[in-house]
Amino acid sequence: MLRAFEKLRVWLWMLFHHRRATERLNAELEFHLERQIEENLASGMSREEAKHAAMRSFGNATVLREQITEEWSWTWFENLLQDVRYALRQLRKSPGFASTAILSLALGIGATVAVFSIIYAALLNPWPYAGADRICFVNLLDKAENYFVPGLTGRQMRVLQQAHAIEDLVGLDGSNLMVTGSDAPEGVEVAELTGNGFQFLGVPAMLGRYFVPSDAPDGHDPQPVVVLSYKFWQRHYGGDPSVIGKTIQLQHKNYNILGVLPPRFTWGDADVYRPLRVLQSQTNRYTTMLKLRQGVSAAAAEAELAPLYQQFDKETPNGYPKGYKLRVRNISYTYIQKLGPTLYLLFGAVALLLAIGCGNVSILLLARGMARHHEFAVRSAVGASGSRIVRQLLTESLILALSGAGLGLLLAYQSVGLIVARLPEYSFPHEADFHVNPPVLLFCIGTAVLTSILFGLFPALQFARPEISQVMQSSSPKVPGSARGRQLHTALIAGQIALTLLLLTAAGAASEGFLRLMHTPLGYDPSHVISVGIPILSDITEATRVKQAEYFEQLRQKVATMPGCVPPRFRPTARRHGVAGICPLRLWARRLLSSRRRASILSARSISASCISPLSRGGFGITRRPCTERHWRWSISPL
Amino acid sequence: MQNAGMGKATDFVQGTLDLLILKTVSLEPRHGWAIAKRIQQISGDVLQVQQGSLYPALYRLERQGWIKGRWGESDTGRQTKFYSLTAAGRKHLEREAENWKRLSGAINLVIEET
Repeated sequence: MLRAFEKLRVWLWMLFHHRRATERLNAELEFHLERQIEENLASGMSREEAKHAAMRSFGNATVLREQITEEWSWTWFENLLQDVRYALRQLRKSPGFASTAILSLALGIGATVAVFSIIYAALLNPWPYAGADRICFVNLLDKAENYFVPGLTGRQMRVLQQAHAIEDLVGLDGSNLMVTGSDAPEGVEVAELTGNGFQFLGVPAMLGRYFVPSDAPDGHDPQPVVVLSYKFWQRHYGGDPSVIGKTIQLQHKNYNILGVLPPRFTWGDADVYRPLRVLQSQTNRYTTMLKLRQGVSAAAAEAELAPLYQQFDKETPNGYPKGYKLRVRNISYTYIQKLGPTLYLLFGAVALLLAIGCGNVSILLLARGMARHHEFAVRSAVGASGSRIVRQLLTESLILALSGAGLGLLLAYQSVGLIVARLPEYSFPHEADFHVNPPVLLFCIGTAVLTSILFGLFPALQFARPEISQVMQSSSPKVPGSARGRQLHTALIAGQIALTLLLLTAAGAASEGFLRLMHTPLGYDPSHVISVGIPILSDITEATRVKQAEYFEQLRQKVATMPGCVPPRFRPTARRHGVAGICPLRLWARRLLSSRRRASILSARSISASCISPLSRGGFGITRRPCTERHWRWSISPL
Repeated sequence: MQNAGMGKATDFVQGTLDLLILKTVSLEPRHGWAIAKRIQQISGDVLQVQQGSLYPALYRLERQGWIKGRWGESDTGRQTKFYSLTAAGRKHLEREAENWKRLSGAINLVIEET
């Protein structure tokens, strides 16, 4: 340890006091020479003779000095610069080779890193929540494998809580409310969680605090408190940190603002979170989110929960589909189902691209090494040592690899944003935090650099000690490589063709998948149709509801009279057992409009209200899942 | 081929020279000239160390941390560099001397076999 330190000290001293060290070395050698002269004089030589004899015995002082100084001077650095310059000259002399190699590597690295980073952020690790891999919903599957999340009554939730497999559970609900008491009313989406909800999700508030079970004691009305989402805080309060402790009026009721959540907390895409009041009745049901105990598998949980749900089914006749299957599914499940296959296929394709890129570079380097056989022989013959040639080749390979990696890095950073912007909006959790994934980046760059070094050095190892005479005597500067070199070359080319075919097949399969997706019958013709979501307010009086209905009828007539529009239809889109219970109506209008007119329809969205108008079949070519009157009535009734 | 042969011979000489230098500076700090003279004297003029080998060896040993150079005044009043053994160098010397004794003893045994 001490010795290592001492070594470093000596080296650094010599490196940074180069001139002084050289002067001292000269003085030292001169001292030695003088002593030699003195000795010669003492043995009876004349002064002239003594000096010459001493010089003779000293040998070539310059060579000696160089021999010593090379070790501790900047010589290695100068050599490196020389190598770099030479390598750059070599690469410039063959721009085709250099650009192909660099581009191959850059594309492979950039695409692989970008796609994996997206897979990681969207599917593997999208949630900021504590123990997200254990947070689940219970899904009931009907015969057609359609699933829904059954709502539970307060009592059923307590029963479920007792299950061994479950660490904790949260009841969820949601509503659309209006911010009142300010100049302009503003619609907000409110997510309601039982008091333990934030502890369950385990994300600390960014400002202030979140609500806890004591804010919503069992069997009592919860405290009038809310926690704001980051987006709403920015939008409504302009990011003012002094809102903590102030009140916000929702539907003419004052709520105390407890805190603001961090930007990544976007649970349910809500604006405001308030404690859920669990009503103890048979008709009020709440979506229930579970956290499994550590080490409990989904299958084990299913086995334990199935009898409980059978019991629940009996309590609410006709509630669950006949012959349902119960599944405990992670919150990532639907996203992995929807986006997973596409992304993994894409990842496979770009990983192949990286492999092909590396293969390309290997073949190019190998071929180049063979073509330069003669050059190495000549350099070797005029005194270049094997290690010097290896260093030269290493520099060239590294320059190629690092340029490729640098460009790939740039490409990765650029394309992550581009790809994310093109992902369908609800195909990944909004909690996802997209950025380039450092371990993958290192892996890809490492692979590329290693490949380049390995294949860049291959000719060096083969040719660093060539049979000089044999190569020199051959008339052609291009000597065919050894049998082993040729074999490797052939194997690499074969491998690359195989990889390319694989890539083509994968790309073909992918595009076929996309085509199939594009041509899937949707049950309606989506062209020239726009859909405008209108949130329905929940906490309103009967009188207001009637007024809303009248307003929507006016809205409908107004849109119907717009040129190029067929009369709009309204349909509730909330699933009966939907997660958050927010039930916007959607207004459908055939669009044959200029963008200006479209904008005037879209402005209807800012009017937060709901409409009453039965949706009839036909008209839009809507053939599947028509909204029946029964359906629609349920949807606008108070939750 | 020729090169390779020479390389091996140099390695052998180098290792021995290092040992001689370490031993010579182990008693007291000495400058280059004194080291060469001392080796020559003790070996009864058999071993003559040339400057061309001595100084590269000294600098190499210093870089390896076995010896330490200090600037000082010689007996003639001139400034020169004095080398002394470091603690690590002393251990290294003991190890190398042991190795040498074993090796030379073994060679003797082979040569003197009757």
